[in-house]
Amino acid sequence: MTPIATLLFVEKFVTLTIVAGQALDTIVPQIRRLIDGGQITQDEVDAIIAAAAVSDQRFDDLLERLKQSSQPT
Amino acid sequence: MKARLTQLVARYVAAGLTAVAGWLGAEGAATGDLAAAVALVVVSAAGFAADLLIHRKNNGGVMKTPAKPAIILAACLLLAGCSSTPAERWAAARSSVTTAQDVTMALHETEVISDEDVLAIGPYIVTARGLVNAAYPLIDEGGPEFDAKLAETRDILKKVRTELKEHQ
Repeated sequence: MTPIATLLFVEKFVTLTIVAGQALDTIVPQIRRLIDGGQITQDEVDAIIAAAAVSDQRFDDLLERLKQSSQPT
Repeated sequence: MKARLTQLVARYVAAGLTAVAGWLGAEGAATGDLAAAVALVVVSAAGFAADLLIHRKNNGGVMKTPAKPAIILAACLLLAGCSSTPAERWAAARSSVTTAQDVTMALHETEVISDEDVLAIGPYIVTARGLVNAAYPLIDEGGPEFDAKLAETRDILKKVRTELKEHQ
């Protein structure tokens, strides 16, 4: 395996691990609440909405970019 | 062989986690879903590592593209199913949609899925997002309309998960 290939693999691994970590960040509090029987707070809902807004914007930008690049010139 | 091993491990991990959840005081039908969700995360992480090592050994050191995080989406969906209050269920559903977007973007960024795949999956996610956002004004009281929107969101995300698995 060449150094470049190793570097690319590490980059992919890190990117996907970060996404998995972010997903776990949202899952773990839910698991804790289910075990504790606690209720979600408005602050937690607001945090979910804020994270969602960032993700929505990035996803929309990606879709728009791909749509434009897929159109025949 | 590898898939069978993973299933076998998953079964024991799920059984163990159900016992732990029960010991910690979780009650009712949700305990099984909760254990399954946690088990899925643990097994997907272990499966991911094993997958890479086996592939590398079988292919003389050639690395395979890592493509397992999509399974995290399944854990989010399971958690959405075992949340109790409308606010909890909405939060779980919205988190699932966000995770679907993030996983799709990461898989695209790492070239696991193509531009065409994203363009095919994208409309499903946008529809799911519209449904869960439309349910937000009903978060305090819940009701049949709220339930219907979340159920439809869940169905669409299941479709997204299937699509992601097929395109990997």
